Amino acid sequence: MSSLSNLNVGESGIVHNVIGEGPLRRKIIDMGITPGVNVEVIRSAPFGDPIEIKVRGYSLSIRKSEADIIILKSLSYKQINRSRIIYGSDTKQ
Amino acid sequence: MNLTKEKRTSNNHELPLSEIKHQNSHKYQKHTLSNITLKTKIALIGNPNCGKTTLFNQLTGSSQYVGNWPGVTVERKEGRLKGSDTLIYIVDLPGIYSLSPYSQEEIITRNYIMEDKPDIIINIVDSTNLERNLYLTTQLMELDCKIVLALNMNDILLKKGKKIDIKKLEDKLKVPIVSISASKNRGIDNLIQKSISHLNENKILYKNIHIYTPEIERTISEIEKIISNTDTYISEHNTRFAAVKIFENDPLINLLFDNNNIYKKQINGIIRELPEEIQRDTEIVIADQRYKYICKLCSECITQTTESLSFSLSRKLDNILTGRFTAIPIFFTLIFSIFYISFGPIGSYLRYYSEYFIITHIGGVIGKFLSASGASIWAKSLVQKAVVGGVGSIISFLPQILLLFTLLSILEDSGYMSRAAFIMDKPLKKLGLSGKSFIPLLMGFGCSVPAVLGTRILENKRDRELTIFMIPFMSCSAKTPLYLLFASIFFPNHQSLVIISIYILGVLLSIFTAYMFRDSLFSGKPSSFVMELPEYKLPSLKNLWIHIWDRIKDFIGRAGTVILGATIIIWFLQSFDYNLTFVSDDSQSILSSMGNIIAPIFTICGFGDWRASVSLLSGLIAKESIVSTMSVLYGSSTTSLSDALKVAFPPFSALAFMVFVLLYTPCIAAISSIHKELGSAKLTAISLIYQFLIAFFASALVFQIGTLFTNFIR
Repeated sequence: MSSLSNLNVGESGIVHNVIGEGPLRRKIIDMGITPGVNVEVIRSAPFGDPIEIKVRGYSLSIRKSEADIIILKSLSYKQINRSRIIYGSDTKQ
Repeated sequence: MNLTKEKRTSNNHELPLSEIKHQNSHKYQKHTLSNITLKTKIALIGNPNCGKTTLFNQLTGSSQYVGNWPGVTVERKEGRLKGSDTLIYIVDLPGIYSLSPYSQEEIITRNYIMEDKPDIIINIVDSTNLERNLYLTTQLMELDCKIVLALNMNDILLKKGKKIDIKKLEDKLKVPIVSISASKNRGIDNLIQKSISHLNENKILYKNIHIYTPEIERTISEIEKIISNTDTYISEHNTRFAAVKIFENDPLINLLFDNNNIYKKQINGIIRELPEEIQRDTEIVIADQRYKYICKLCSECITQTTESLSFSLSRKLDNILTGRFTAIPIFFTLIFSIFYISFGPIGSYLRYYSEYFIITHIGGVIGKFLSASGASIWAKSLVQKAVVGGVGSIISFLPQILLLFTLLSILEDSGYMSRAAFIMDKPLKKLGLSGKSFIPLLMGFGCSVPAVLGTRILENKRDRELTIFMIPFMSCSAKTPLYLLFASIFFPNHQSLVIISIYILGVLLSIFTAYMFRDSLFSGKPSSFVMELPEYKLPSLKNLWIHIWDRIKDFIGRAGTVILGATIIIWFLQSFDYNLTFVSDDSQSILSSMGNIIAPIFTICGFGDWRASVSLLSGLIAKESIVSTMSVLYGSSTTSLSDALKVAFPPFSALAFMVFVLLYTPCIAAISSIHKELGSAKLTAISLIYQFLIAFFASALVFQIGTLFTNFIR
């Protein structure tokens, strides 16, 4: 299971769950990061942290440590194979 | 607003979140009678950056009044509707993304709707961000309050090639919707008309909208039934809102049920009947279903009419403004330009001219008037020295502060400030702060007053307090004249080096302050940095003007009260001796004898001269006064100021003095801003004493070590 903090710039994923509890999790959910939504990493700040993501059509900044609790759906076996066919088997996935 | 009265006596002015709760169901009965009220209250609610402020300004103009919500340092704005005959008031609630129980802004909004019961809510929604904005809307619809939706920035959406079918949306949500453009002042009359006509209707149709899946809806209705049997204040109104929140395990609503364990058990029983995966995490279930409902709604009501641009302008700008190699140089260039404009030639000119205008012209006119009317010497002195001279010199730096403030406001309104915070977050995180603190800290280099005020953007109280403690160490521009003077006299060949070192010392000590206090005095939740990066936009002049006008009113208000009072006290001490006779020679005054009493303390720092102490005291009014007082006390007709100072300050004591000025207690204007923003006299006192002690030890250290060093060399 990967989290949003594992994504590189330019990559996107679909949210599976937001774990934990309390104000931070609540804030993340309220900002639209809920199961099933697509998130895309746009860039990271010059010092490496935080990152800017695109979700529900707008830009959100979040620290990598906070993005740890956003769990993404891992690609299915079929999807991994499909991307291997398109991009070649030495694709990093 | 009913915040528990017992807590008001606590030292900590702000109430802990768990205490901001409701009581007294009888307060409700009072309100139902108020249907006959004379004035109508409209609450403005919406996300940050959705144009709410712009709408509020359009609706109220300059009649707005800015204050604070009781018990917290969150701004409260209220104003009368422009151009209406009846008394219609608009209350601007803080920008919020949700009605969760965690942040002050959200709690204030909930409390306001449930307790103060506005007559109608105008929910302003950013069309270009509809999904996220509607999330709040669905929560507002669960409250027992009439709502009208104001769809803002529709024109921008059209440019992006998308169109919202407003009629369809209205039919589905059963909420009246009006399309507006707050910045272009369009549709606003329509909005008010629709709001007023909706006010006069009796039905609230959207109460019956089903957002959740049938099993959840059933559960919610059952919880509602149980709630209506209890004797809490939510038993009659806002039951659906409360039911949903209870289902979500909302801690604040749960507090209401402290004494109602039977009902709590019943409710838990109902929830336990649901499938395991729902029970496990009811909070995310609700949020998830809200967004699913919203997505379906949006897909049905928004259509793509033309090809949309693949990259928005904001994205392109950000490639440069937050790009890995370009971000920081651009950032520092922007900041430097702002400071150079405010405190370099242009700003200084504004300052000198205002000072000249106030002290020479106005002061001159007043002086003539006083002489003509035969006022006594001390009265003339009071008015000219204290009022005109003292307060006048402070007001004279209003234009400069406003210039700084305007430039920074433009930067903020345009959307750049959030990028600045984004860039600076990582280094600031090491200090236990977040990137949002960077701008207030930076403003401290100009003037502590707007800097401390600027800490309002920090939602986390701990961050605000810690940042306020750090701001005074950012050497404010009023201290610069002293540095320039001393550097030119005592370090003629190393002026820049010395001055830059002083600034760096200030920054280092503010970092030290962060480390010192973050775990002890301000332990608490560290802030998170989940922050929206809004689209860039051109700042609105009207907003800017209203913002500036607010600041002017605040500054003059404080200048007229606290600062005037303090100035008069110092004037009194400076102009009278212990026999209460008026003296024209300063060295006979109470102040100078006070200076003589204090002076020995500073021997260890190398400047135990009474004139130095008095100059430092005068720095409490305004840091610029240090130089002016020194020129009065040290200079005479025979010796120049430079020569007199060279004699009076032995080696290293000049440096020690500069260090002391850098670090010690700030001016009254800053002290009063700090007190206002901290909201606690205790914390303010700690801050001031701390600064004095640091200043004292640092300057003593500099002097003693420096002297030892020179002696050692010899």
